[in-house]
Amino acid sequence: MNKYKERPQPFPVIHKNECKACDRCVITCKNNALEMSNELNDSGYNYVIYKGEGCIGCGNCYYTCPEPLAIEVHIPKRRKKDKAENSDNNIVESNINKKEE
Amino acid sequence: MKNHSSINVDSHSKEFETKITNQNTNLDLEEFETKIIKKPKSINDSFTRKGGDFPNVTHYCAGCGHGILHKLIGEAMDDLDIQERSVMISPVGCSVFCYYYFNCGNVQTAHGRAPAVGTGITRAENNAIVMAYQGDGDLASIGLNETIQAANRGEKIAVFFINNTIYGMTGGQMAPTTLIGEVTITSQGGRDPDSTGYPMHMCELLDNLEAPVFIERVSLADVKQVRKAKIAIKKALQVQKEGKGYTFIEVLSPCPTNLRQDAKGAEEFIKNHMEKEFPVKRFRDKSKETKPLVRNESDFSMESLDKIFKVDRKNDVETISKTDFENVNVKIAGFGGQGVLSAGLTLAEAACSEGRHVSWYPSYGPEQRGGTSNCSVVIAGDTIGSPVVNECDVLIALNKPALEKFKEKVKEKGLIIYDSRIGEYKTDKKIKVVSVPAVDIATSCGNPKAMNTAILGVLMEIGKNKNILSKDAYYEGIREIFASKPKLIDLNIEVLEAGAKWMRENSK
Repeated sequence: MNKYKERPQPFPVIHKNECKACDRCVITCKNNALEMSNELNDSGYNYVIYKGEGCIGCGNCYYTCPEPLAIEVHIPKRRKKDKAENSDNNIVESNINKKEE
Repeated sequence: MKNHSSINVDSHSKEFETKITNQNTNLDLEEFETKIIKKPKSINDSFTRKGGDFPNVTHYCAGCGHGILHKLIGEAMDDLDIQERSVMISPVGCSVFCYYYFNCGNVQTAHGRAPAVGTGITRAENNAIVMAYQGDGDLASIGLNETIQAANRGEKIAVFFINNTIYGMTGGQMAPTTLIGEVTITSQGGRDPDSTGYPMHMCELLDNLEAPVFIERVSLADVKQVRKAKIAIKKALQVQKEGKGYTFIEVLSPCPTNLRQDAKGAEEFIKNHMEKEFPVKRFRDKSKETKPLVRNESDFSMESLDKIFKVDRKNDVETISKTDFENVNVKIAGFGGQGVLSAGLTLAEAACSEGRHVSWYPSYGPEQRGGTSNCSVVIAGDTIGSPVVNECDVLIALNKPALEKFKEKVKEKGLIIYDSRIGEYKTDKKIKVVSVPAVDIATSCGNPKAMNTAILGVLMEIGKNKNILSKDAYYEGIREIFASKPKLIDLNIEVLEAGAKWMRENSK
């Protein structure tokens, strides 16, 4: 557990003005790490906020979100010595591949 | 607590990276790199085409399935590296504005017509990856026939069929896919199969056809299903990338607004009701055994088009504008099969060869023979505004109904030429009337079918001093019309001359 805490944690980036408060991500988050804010964004919707901890970088909130620009998930990965440069898509790819198997 | 705290931003920025870096000072951050799961590059960075104050938000309702599906398609496009080859077809429905979001080619079609337009695109641009994005009203109701025909032809189109059981854009009316007992604003007591039939199962329907390569039904109920949908979409687009043929993906999608559901309610409705009626499964995957579909390439070169339409560019006739030339309006009418239209064409070609502006405008009933038909020819010295002839200078009537119908339309000092078999016709108006035994003239030359040409011969003789069309022009017209049947050229010229000769002999 200690080791887990010592590395940088994944986290969602939520663009609050893009959120329409549909609640899909809150329901889908495995670790219950998202909640609906009581405040309104500029378009007049409540918006989702990250509770600050609990994100495991699964990307479920991103995938279930109907707004393409509302959520990003940032996942720190230990740099591989030989393969320093990897494209962002690889995570998505690996997630999908797992499912496919 | 080493975790970062605030994660909500107005726009994403470097701030975050730095915040995290500062908070984790005891870590060697050089060891880490950040991978970001975010919108694919095939989806626009900002939806500026939408206009308005919030260019980063879709026009869809909260919780709508369209945005999810857009993202999945965009990701598949990125993964397969086909963005540059892709053409999205926007339907009529909520997703009418697909082109706000997808960063690829786009055509917006009329309601239900995506298969027809898609067929055109894929046939003209063999390398294009054509995607038809259609809703249940668009595909299963209004465009049902075209959908089945395109599937049956195995067109290279990836169809994404969004099924939310209702007409969404217009306010939630009953659709072909509405479930039994489902309440919509046009089925207030719930859909009753006795009066409105049963839900339309599109995957099952298309699965009866031979041609489709890949058919699957997916669901957007929860994230597990969303990820499965992504796999199916990628497979379908892989089939397109390899040019193998028709793929069809039905997507069970939430419409929380019209069905008055929250996110939980929409999920439950899809899982407990829609998926029961529309089983989520792969109906067909023939992608392995199917070979790429290679169609003959269409040749749209000028040479090939000229050949098809018999255009001779070497002997181009220059059209001369002569504003002092008075328009000549000709009406030729008779039974279908009497040579009404071809006589008009001959006259038009003749005028064309003289460098006149000319129009030929046919009008006929549905019958091949026996019905009435007529055509209008306008010969002019300047650009023709309308090819319609209401009042004519010359009427050629090949039967009695034609003469009766158009005789009042002939101008003063005009000319009526009619087949003598009609019987005698006289008029009080200042109109020259000529009754021609056209069949006899044509028969005397051995071709009774050429009675229309005999009448043109009469017209040529009457008009010879009027400087409208020369004899050579008439000859040229006949040569053009019978270019594909050279044997008939001399024969018709003979009949033409016989008609002229008859006129000379009978003009006094």
